[in-house]
Formats: sequence, structure tokens, C-alpha cells
Amino acid sequence: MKLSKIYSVGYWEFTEKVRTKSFLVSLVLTPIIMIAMGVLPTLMGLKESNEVKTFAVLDKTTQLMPVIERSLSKKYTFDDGTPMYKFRNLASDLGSEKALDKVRNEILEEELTGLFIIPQNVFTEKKAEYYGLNVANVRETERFFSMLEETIISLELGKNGIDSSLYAKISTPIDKKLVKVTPDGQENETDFLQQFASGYGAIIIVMILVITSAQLLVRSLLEEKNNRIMEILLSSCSPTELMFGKLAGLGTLGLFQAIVWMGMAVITGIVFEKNFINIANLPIILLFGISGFLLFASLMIGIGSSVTTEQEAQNITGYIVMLAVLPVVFILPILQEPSGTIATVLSYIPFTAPMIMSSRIMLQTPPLWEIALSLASIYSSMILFMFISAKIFRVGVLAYGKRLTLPEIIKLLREK
Amino acid sequence: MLQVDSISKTFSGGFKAVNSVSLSVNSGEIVGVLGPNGAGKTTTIRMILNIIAPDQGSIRINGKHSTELSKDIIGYLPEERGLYKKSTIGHTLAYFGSLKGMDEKTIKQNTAYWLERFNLGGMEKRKVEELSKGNQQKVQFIAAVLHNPSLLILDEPFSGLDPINQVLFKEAVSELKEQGKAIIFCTHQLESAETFCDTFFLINKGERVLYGTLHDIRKDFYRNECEVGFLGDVSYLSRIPHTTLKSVNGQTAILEYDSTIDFSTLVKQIADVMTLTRIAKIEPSLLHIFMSVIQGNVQKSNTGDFQ
Repeated sequence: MKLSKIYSVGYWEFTEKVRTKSFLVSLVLTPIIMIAMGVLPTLMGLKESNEVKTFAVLDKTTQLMPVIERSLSKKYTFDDGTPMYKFRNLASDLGSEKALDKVRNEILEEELTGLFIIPQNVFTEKKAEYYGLNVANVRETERFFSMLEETIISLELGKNGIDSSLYAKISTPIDKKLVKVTPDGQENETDFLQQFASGYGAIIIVMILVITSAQLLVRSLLEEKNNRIMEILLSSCSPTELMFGKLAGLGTLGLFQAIVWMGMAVITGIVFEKNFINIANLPIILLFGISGFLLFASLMIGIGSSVTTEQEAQNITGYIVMLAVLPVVFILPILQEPSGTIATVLSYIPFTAPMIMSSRIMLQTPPLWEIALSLASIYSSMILFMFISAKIFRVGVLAYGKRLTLPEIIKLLREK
Repeated sequence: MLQVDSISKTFSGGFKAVNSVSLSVNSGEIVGVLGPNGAGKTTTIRMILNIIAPDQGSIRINGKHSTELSKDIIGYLPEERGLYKKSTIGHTLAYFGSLKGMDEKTIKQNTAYWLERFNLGGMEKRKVEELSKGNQQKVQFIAAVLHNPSLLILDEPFSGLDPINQVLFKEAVSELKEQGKAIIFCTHQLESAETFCDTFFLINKGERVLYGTLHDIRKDFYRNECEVGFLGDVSYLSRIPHTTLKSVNGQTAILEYDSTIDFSTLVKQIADVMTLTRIAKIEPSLLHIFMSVIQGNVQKSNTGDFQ
């Protein structure tokens, strides 16, 4: 085996693939799509529409609504200072049903968002009603009802001779600060979203790296087999050199891709002032990414050399891709308990180990021996697969037009 | 240069693709490897290329056992053409060159030389898929000779080429022969092989059935027939002893003669009775030899190894 030949193959695989348009597109588009999928729904949910909403209110007590209206218009305003909500008070002697009849059409025609009814006995019974076309707009109703509660409480307190400003003081919510403990003592403030983003991001990056590079590998093998370039290659180097060259080239490509994506994540973090990535962990995550690639690639290269059409390849690689996607299913238990049983077991199973371990390292770095054991599990199965694949590869790459059958493969493996 | 000594290869299904085949190729020699489809040509070539290992026998290059390292001094043009469609000519050739252990500078020089030579000068940056079929073949040919190999294996190098490009290729191969390359030339086109090769190697059903120069091979296939051009009445010709008149076409006749009679005596006898304008032994064509050997083989195996 000559290193220079492995280098030639690797150099070619890397430089040719890195130049293709599809690679560049996926390099840029994948993280954008990921961010879009993760962030956009949240952003859209948070964003307030800048439309003034008008509610009808039937306040049978007559004393609550002026206070509530004043507080709400002060608390919830648009950027230009105008209040978000407008209220139209209905005559307090109206019955509930009459009031609803009166505004029903306006609600149906969406001129009014809804109707709040505050009964006379609200102080004792603690009951109020809301009628609207959409009762799922929790934000508005929640704001109104909690303001109603606060108003009732401070009025009641006042009646009992307690200063209502005291209530405001004691009812201020506690500002929660979540700090992640790290061995180097540089504790950083963090929150669940950041934890989620980093744990999830690690899994996704490693997974996409593994899947895309392993599929590139199969495709490049198939192209060479079908174009008969294989004959020229094998008249210049040995199958083993070719195999390792491809692994090296496409592995580098995957590494390059992962580094670019991590760079993008770090920059995103800086721009949004969310430090969800601990840069010190990146090298070890890259190590797991590359190990994962080598493991899956060692399987894929045997498959790629034994099939003859893209369709056959997709059928079989589909199952392997599913193995690589498996960790996503376990994302929640792992985020909740990064050192729990599920996470620990999965980080020793070779196929899930690369993704799960990267995620755990991001969340709560496990002891070194666990990391080492996980790597050992990946690499021992990788060596086994590589040994099997190399045998299939030698024969498979020259078998045109006919897929190697399972008995043929078993026979091959038995040969010395 | 190349010494192949009774190599055999049996595939896993028990199919004996090549059975104890020997041949040698010297520097400056073109050996034509001929044989019907499935005769064992590709397997033989793959063994010479060290892509598959023979079960028995040895392959020596320059006196040394062929190893992985020998691949660097062999150039190969496969029968079925294939190149990376989306890559440029320059990159493709640089890749194949570097796999043969060439350095960057030599690759650049040789690429420029050969592209110029095949009227593709300055097209390094063009993508392979943008080229015509003939031009793609040229690139493939260049890939086989770029590293200045001592042994060149060309499998059907002229198939699919227009006449102008065929001439271009033939000139290039002759030039390589002049430079002392050992060349193996596999083909089905017997006419081109006849004029092109020094030595012929015919393989059928995995076995060597003919091997030697055209002269050697023909020796066994002369049919004792001659073509006679004459003036006058053909009836004189039919009266010559020990001969049979096979056909007459105007002033030309094909005459078969007994092996008991010597050719020069025959010429004299004819000249004695009529005016002779032309006489020549009929040389068996390669096609004729090819057909009779292969068909003879078929008959033999039909009766012989019936299992």
C-alpha cells in the first residue's frame, strides 16, 4: 500500500466534490434550513401583530373596568406607544345573554375580537367569562384575566387596610438564573433553549455529516463502476488504496463541512448574543463526527461496491441512514438526563454513539473514560466493517451488471 | 519486456476463464490479442494489469515478477470508455497521472504535448461532457499514455472513431512503437490487426489457439490455391495435370493444385501452354484463419468434453 496513491485518490475526491454546485448549495442551505426550522416557528409565535384589537366588556361591578383598562393600556403598547387593546364598555344593567346578542354580529364579522363578562359577584365567586370567535388566543385572554385578578386582589387588600403598592412589591416574579457548571470554573449563564439548541445541534451536525458523506461515497463508487473508470483506477492502484483514498478524501470533505457549519453556529451565537456553543468542546465533537463518518462509510463502501444501480444502492443505504437518524428520536430523554440510562447505553452502541456522545458532551461533559469507551466501541466495529468491506470491495468493484448476492458475499468472506 | 508464463484463472463459480496461457511482448513490438467475445481476453489483460491475480503461472515485467509497483509502467485503454463527465480534461488527466506516480510538472508538460498532438490544445479547462465522442476517446487515450508507459495495453483503440481520427490514432501508436514501447492490441477488427501487428495471439475458450507472426500462422493455412491471370482460352488451363480449376472470372481463374506438385513447376507448366499475365499463391486472410480455427475448436469441444 502506497500512501502517495491514497493521497492522490483522496485529493481527487475532495477537490472534485468540493467544487460541485450541489455541495456548495447544501453547505450553505442546510444550516439555513435547520435554523429556519428551529427558530422560525418560535419567532412567529412570539411576534405580536400590530393590529389594535377591540373587545367589548360587560362589567357588572362597574368599578373594575376603569382600573383594568388603565393598567392594560399602560402595560401593553406598540412601539409607538399606542395601546394594543381597545375596550368598549357595555351598559352594566344589560344581562349576559342580551349583551352577547348585542355584539354577536360584530364578533362574527371580526369587528370585535371578543366579549369579556365580569359578573357582579366576581369578588366572591371568582368567575368571569370570555366569548370570542377564536378562544385559542390565549395571550389576550390571559393578559386580561390576570389583570382582572390583580385588580381584584389590590382592591380587596385596600378594603382591608393594606397598601396596594405592597402587593405589587411582593407579587413581582422571581428572576430565574440558570447556570451550567463546567469543570474549568467558567460558569456561564444559560437557559433551556440554549441547552436544547446545542444538544440538538450537535446531533444534527454529526448526523448530516455522516449521512451526506457516506452517500457521496456510494454515489462516487457507483459512478466509477458504471462508467468503467474503475478499470483505469485499478490499473493504477490497488483496491485497498482506492478504498482508503476515498475514505480519506470524503472524510476530509465531511470535516470541512462540519467546520463550516460550526463556524456558522458560533457566528450566529455571537450575533444573537446567545452563547450556546462551548468552543472548547468543538474539537472533540469533530472527532466524534469523523469517527461516525468512518463507521458508516466503512459499511457503505462495502454496499456501494456490491450493487450496480443507484436504485439498489438507495434501497440498502436507506436502512443505514435510518440507523443514523435514530438518535433524533431519543433527543428529549437525552436533553432531560444527559447522564441517564438511555443516554449512557446509546453512547456505547456504535451506530448511535457518535451523535449521542457529541450531544452529551455539549450538554454535560461525561467523564473521560466514558468518552474513551464510546470511541473504542465505534472504532472496533469500524475495523470489523472495514475488514468485511475490503473483501467485498476487491471483487465487487469489478462485478458489472450484477449485484453480489448474500451467499456470494459470505463465500467471499470465508476465502483467505 | 513482458513475459506471461502459463497463467490460469478459475472464477468462484468453477468457470475456467483462462487456461495455461503464455505470451511475450518485446519492446517495439505490437502483439495483437484476438478472440471472440468471452474467450478470456479481458481476464488475461486484467491479470497482466495486476487487477486480478492468476491462480497459476507467472507474469514477469522486465524480468521481475509483476507487483503492484508494475502498474506505474503500464498504460491501459479499456474497451468500454469511461471518464468523469463533470470534471475538466486537465483535472482528469492530472488525477490519472498522479495515480501513476507522476509529478505535477511532468503531468502539465505531457498533457500539453498530447492535447496539442490530438488537436485539443489549450482545452484543459473544458469539461469532459462538453466534448464530442471522438474527442473523449482522445482524452482517454491520453490518459493511457500520459505517464510514458513501457507497456501499453490498448483494447479496441479505434472503435467508434471516424477515419481521420483513426489515422491520427494509428500514427500515434506507430510512433510509440518506434519509441520502443511494448504494445498489446486487442481487437475484433481483423483487417486493421493484419496490417498493424507484428505478432498475433488468438485465444478461444480460455486457451491459446494460435500464436506467432502472420507468416508463421499462415504457414499452416495455405490452401494450395493460386490466382492466375491469363490471355486466351481457359480450356488450356483445365488440362494442366495435378490441378483442379475452381472458378473462372473473365481472364482470371482460381486454380487448386496437389501438394505433390511444386509451385515453380506449376508456373512453368502454365506458361508453357498459355500466355500468363499474373500468378500468385492465395495467402489465407486472418479472417479465414480465425474462422477456421474457432469453428474447428467448436467442433472439437462438442465431441470432446461432453459432460
